[in-house]
Amino acid sequence: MLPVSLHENDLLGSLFGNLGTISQLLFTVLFIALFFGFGQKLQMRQFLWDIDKGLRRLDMFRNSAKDLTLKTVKEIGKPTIDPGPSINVLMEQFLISPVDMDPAGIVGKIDHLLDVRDEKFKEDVRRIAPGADSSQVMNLENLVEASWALNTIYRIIRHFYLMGKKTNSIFIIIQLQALLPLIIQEAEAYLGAAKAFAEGQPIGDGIGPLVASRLMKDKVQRKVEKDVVVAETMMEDRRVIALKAEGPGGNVGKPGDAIKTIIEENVDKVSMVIMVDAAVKFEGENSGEVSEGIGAAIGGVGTERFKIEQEATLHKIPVYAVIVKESLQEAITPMKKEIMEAGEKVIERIKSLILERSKPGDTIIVAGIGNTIGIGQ
Amino acid sequence: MAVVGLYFIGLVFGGDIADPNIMILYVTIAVVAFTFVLLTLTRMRRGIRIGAYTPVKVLSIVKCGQCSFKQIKNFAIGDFVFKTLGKCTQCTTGDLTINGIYTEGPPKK
Ligand SMILES: [Zn+2]
Repeated sequence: MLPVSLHENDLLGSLFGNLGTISQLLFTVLFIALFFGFGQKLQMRQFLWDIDKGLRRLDMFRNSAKDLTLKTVKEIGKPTIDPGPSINVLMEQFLISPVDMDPAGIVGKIDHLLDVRDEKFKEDVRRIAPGADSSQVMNLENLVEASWALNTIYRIIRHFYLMGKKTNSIFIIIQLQALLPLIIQEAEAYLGAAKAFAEGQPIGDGIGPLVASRLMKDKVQRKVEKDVVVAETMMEDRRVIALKAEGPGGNVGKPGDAIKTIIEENVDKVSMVIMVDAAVKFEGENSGEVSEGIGAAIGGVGTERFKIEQEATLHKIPVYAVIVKESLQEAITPMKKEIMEAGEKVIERIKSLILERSKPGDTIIVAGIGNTIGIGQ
Repeated sequence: MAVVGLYFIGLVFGGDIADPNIMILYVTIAVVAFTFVLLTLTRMRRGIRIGAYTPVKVLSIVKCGQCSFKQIKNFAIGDFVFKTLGKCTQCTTGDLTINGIYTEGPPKK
């Protein structure tokens, strides 16, 4: 604290001197009260402000996604009734995951649940948009799912915001404020995804199907399992069976079931499985970088990966993964040029893997994993 | 806050204050006020930059299966990779297909 000097002789000086002492004391007290007493309160108020701003932006995102869904449904679905209420019902849909206290057989249960949900979602969309063809129904389904995600994010954040406000709990508020920028970034990516789905543009996640479709172009194709197409081609004197989800509608198919079927069709002939997929990169890495590893490269809940791992273990088939690195945002928004160009590099990698790890005459499965929206075959 | 800062700066240069301590105090308050204003401004700027959504431009590469014809056009609704777009205008025998669909993405800063 600064020493205060008083000029007793001078009236003006003494007046200002006293005023100085008083005001300095006042300011000191105010300072202490502000930073120690109300500091947390003030900070909380500021955090709540930030969250409120973020929440409003999330609301804007979800509304524009919903408007886009409505507009697209009306444009290509040609509904006879107003699709608004039905879309609202779809937006609030939920899935109850099975009991995991006794986890034996839970993969089958989850798989079944997801199948049912998928089927129902598709049927609902078809009913809302009777004018859409099958690939448009797929795209619309993806679009509805993206706006569902945005709606859910908004609801969860609003829940915690109101909870924090109500209980005055600084920890809820701090956590929310800290995570909000990441959540907003993700929500923004979902909005970009909704736009891509509405127009049927390929997304970054589609690199796997893109590579598979380059391999199976102009070959005889057949459908196996749910929404998966398969074609045979020759590569370096090896028989390559390529598979991908059926395009160009937005779809990931069930590659686990398809790989299982193909392995069972060619018992003791398949010498390796190569899976091509997009993988989330670390911040700082370049998008479109290709790297390879071992194991089933497939995202999602894990049911498909489980099936592939089980089948590969049963028949002692090695599973290799070739991945293309991209950020989460890039994976669900229209495909970037460097990611598309990585497709050629992936094919080169597959070739060298085949040359190194198999003999001429072997049968190899190449599975293109990901959402095939905007990619035919 | 800016007003508070200006007010105290005004007091300091008003010349009515004899005590250097009060002067220091007022200057400090003014500096704190301006710092607060500056911080708030930069925060706002950052918020706006994150929030701006730039619509992306999506392009389709059209290639001929027979000759070297290659064209890049804007994505049209209904386009998909390996969609056939009819006969080539250059060699009149090859089929034109969409070979790739991509976006350039925003330019690097
Ligand atoms: Zn041509």
